[in-house]
Amino acid sequence: MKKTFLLLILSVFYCIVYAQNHTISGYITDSKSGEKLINAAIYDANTMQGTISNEYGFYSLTLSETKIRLMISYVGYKTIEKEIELKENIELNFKMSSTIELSEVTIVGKSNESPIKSTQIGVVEVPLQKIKNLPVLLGEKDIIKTIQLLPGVQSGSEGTSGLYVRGGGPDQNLILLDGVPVYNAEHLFGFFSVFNPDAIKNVTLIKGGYPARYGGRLSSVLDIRMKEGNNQELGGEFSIGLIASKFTLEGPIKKDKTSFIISARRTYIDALIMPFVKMAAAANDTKTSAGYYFYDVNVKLNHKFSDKSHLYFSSYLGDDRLYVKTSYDYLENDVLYEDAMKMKTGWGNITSALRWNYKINEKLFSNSTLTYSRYNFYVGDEFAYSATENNITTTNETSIIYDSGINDLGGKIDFNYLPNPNHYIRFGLGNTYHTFNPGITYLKYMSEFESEIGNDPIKANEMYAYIEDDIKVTSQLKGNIGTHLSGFYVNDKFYKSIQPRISARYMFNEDWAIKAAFTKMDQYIHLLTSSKISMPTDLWLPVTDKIYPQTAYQYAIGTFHNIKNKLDLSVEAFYKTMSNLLEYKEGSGLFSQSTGWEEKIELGKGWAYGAEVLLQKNVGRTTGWIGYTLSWSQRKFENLNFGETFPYRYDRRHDISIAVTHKIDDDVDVGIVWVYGTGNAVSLAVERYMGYEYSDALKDPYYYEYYYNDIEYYKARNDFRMPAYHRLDVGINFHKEIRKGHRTFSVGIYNVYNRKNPFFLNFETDNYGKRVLAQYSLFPFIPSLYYSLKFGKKSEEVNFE
Amino acid sequence: MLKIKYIIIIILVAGTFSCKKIIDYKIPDNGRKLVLNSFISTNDSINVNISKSLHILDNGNYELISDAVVNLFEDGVFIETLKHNGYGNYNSTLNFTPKEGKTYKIEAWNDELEKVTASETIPHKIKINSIDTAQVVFASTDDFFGSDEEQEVYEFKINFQDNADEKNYYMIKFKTAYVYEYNGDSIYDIYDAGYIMYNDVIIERYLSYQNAVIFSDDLFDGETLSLSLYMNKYNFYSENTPVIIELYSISESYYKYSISLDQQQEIDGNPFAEPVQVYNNIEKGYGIFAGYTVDKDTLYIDGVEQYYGID
Repeated sequence: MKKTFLLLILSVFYCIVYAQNHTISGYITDSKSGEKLINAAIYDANTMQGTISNEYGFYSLTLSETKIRLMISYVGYKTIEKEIELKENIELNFKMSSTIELSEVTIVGKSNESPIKSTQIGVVEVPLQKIKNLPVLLGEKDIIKTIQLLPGVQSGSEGTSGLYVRGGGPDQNLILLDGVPVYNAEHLFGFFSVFNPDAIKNVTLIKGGYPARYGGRLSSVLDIRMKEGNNQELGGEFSIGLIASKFTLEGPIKKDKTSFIISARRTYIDALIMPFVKMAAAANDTKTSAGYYFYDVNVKLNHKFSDKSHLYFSSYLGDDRLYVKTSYDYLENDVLYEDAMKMKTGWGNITSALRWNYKINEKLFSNSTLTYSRYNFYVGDEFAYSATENNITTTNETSIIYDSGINDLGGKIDFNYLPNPNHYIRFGLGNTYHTFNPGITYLKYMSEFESEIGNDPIKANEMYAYIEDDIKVTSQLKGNIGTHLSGFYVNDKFYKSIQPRISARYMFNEDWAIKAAFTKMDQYIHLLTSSKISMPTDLWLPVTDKIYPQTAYQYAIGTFHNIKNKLDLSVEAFYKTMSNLLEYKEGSGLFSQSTGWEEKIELGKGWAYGAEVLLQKNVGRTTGWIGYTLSWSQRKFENLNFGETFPYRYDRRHDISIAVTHKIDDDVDVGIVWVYGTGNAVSLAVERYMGYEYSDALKDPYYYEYYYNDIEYYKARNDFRMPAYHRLDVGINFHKEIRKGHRTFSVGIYNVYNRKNPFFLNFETDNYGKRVLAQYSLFPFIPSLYYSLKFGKKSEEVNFE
Repeated sequence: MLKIKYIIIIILVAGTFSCKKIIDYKIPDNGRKLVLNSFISTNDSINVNISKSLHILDNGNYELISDAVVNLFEDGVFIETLKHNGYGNYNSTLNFTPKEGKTYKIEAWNDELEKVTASETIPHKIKINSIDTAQVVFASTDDFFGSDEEQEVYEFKINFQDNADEKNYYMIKFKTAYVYEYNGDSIYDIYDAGYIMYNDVIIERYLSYQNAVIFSDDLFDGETLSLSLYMNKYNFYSENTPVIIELYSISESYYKYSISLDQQQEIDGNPFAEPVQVYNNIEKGYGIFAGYTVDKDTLYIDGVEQYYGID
């Protein structure tokens, strides 16, 4: 470790001493919206030295030559070429115009930093346009569902949006929205994810070879960046789907200086079912309303003080609500009695980030951020009984509220230092103050009685520092070396870890590279889940003196090819070990998670290995990818399954996904998704036998003949497989230019051939009294409609050369 | 919390389930096994129940075995062959009663089923030192949809000394008796007193099907414990109602079996829960061979006269 440090420090000095050159720096933005472009490639075409723009569109390139042929390229944008005489440090901001995947001729330049060139392995930039064009369940565009189509990433149960990356669990994903962790990225038990694609600019998934700047979770990083808002002109989008509507409005508050974006979405299942609920209630002489909805709002403001200094504020707010209100009244002996009950259940996230970008000089860029993240689950019940006699009403009211969740307050500072084209150094540090609330019940009875029962909140500090350098050793060999240091302080206990992160790339030629990576990751928070499906009641809890941090080591190797500038093919293999994974003891914790939870869990090991193939086509009329994953994921716990190794529930031997869109003409495109996965592992009973609860039961002949228990015998955990999962979705999008904008009308079909995919299996007795194994499925053939209207920017996106 | 989760599951299931399909799925069949169930204590003569397992997809009823050979050993010494007494039940012809601290072994087989064996040691009896009662008022908190009123409850403070030399497991049950006159005799009908409330962390689990609390000496090894348990006043019907408090000293097998069985029963029908493997100490077969001893104490308390019920 020390050597790595030394090497880094030396190389930094070396660069500083050597830096007798001149620097070009600036920002790369979209010409129409002013949005910063992330990962655009900037290079000198003469020497092929270059760099990429960072998360805030900033680039810096230090060169020794004076005659520069500067090229700026970015997928879906026209490549800019500019001759420069470099005699002093200069600032150059570029505005790129988009061409959006039209015909093969438009995209000449290579993609941004093509997968071949970057040092990173296991990284996928998720094309947002694909998210919008591919068919999805109920037509509700969803980032996470699209990510599930990538190799190495698995979905959990049917239709849900949990991510299982390279054999890891859904709690091991660091989901960052503008750099702020989101704890529960799911609406409605995971059938929808919380991210509204209309407000999102860029999505990057890292499943191995994590750069040192990320830390805190074992299995993946999902870095989602929100749009900044068009700083040129007002525009927006409005859409109606089967279950939800949404709108987005963005525009300049002061042109070129300040802009905003606001995007909101709400479901209307509750409004649709309300009449039925009312009718049912009326039949029972009660007044009832009940329903479920979720909404989310994304807001971002950004202000440019100067080319040196930018301020951003972004916030996400989302909630799921389930409510039932009933009341019943009756007259008895001239007294009017009224009984009323209100039940509310809700869960949601708030995340906020206040960020200040400051360019210290041409080579050093800083980013300071304050973050806030909160996840909260609550149940509230109110009961009121009133009696009215002679216009005098007496009321009895009781309320019970249960509340649990997690609260984070953090600050961090990151620096990008680009001394010359051979180094891209990032370093920084941060601290997060966590408040875990494992569940508190508040009781109130009129004004007479109030009490609080539950666990005290647990407070903890999580801190980290990192340094990484993307080093170009030769034009073929490039590496990313770094280390992430982290610590966690809770209840007078301090855990610390040093996590080396190394990845390297060797390029044989422009079209072929091999890469390898080794990383260590540590995770200080655990998610307690008690069920096979994700529940809003799942609790985030910190490590304690008995529950240790989770650790993972991952080794990855891969080969990356570019085939005739049209196709990208990658094959990656990985091996990952995980320790201190958490599982509930058998049978515990099902309904009583919060008290004494440390006693109810087991710590164990896990490992996963496999290979992933991704064939991607990003140019032409037909674009998309085919992914295949072959993998194994296993667990071993001393006290589960008699200490024997067992397959992880989502151990999936084969996983295939095909996601393709084809442009028929300028107005019509079709999207096709086909997925196949080996069935989930499941524990099934093989025999059953008579059992008795206690001695008295055996004393009474009548009792033991009739009142025995049916005990089911399970041989081993997860030793059976459900039938395989496969499904085809098809969608057609019709685009049209209208007077003030651009409208898209989409028709989609989920599960076209109506495959009955297994959701769970259950032994039961059929109508003829025969015992059978029944399979329950969730989503059959489901058609959907979707209409969206983009207004403001007269769609210059559809712009022919 | 309990019901909220169920409600969520029900809404989820009801809202989205579209279909069920019977699938033809091969569950391996490795033949049937002998099932032996026996709880042995120093209070009763020995009794063993023998039946036969079923394949998970078998339609039939359980078969109680009447032709098994069931041999009993005490500390390795053969005692007797138990005699079938109807309904798959085998009893001692010598009226043999197990003793504290001794280890018993049972073997059983018949022509069809492979021989099974099981052994068990009877734990030492733990005596109740004293029981204090008090009346307290409780705000009910155990359930969101439950009672919204204060409850008048009885507190029973049960005092006993844990044995330091060994690992002990306990179970406590409350029984009450309903007394009535029949042909001039007083008849005592003894039954479970009902739901036991507790707030002590030493309680591992409430066994809902038999109204008992179960726990180990993990947190009070070798100490004298005063454990408070509570019962609602309405569980007792009249003045001077007898309350029989039973302190079971149970074996590790008994403990593991009771908890795992209760857990398997609790998640029965919940497809989202990970199934629980029930503890089994019968070699080459299934079932339980569990030892225990009981100490009882009876007290009389004033219950609440009910409007309905006894006349």
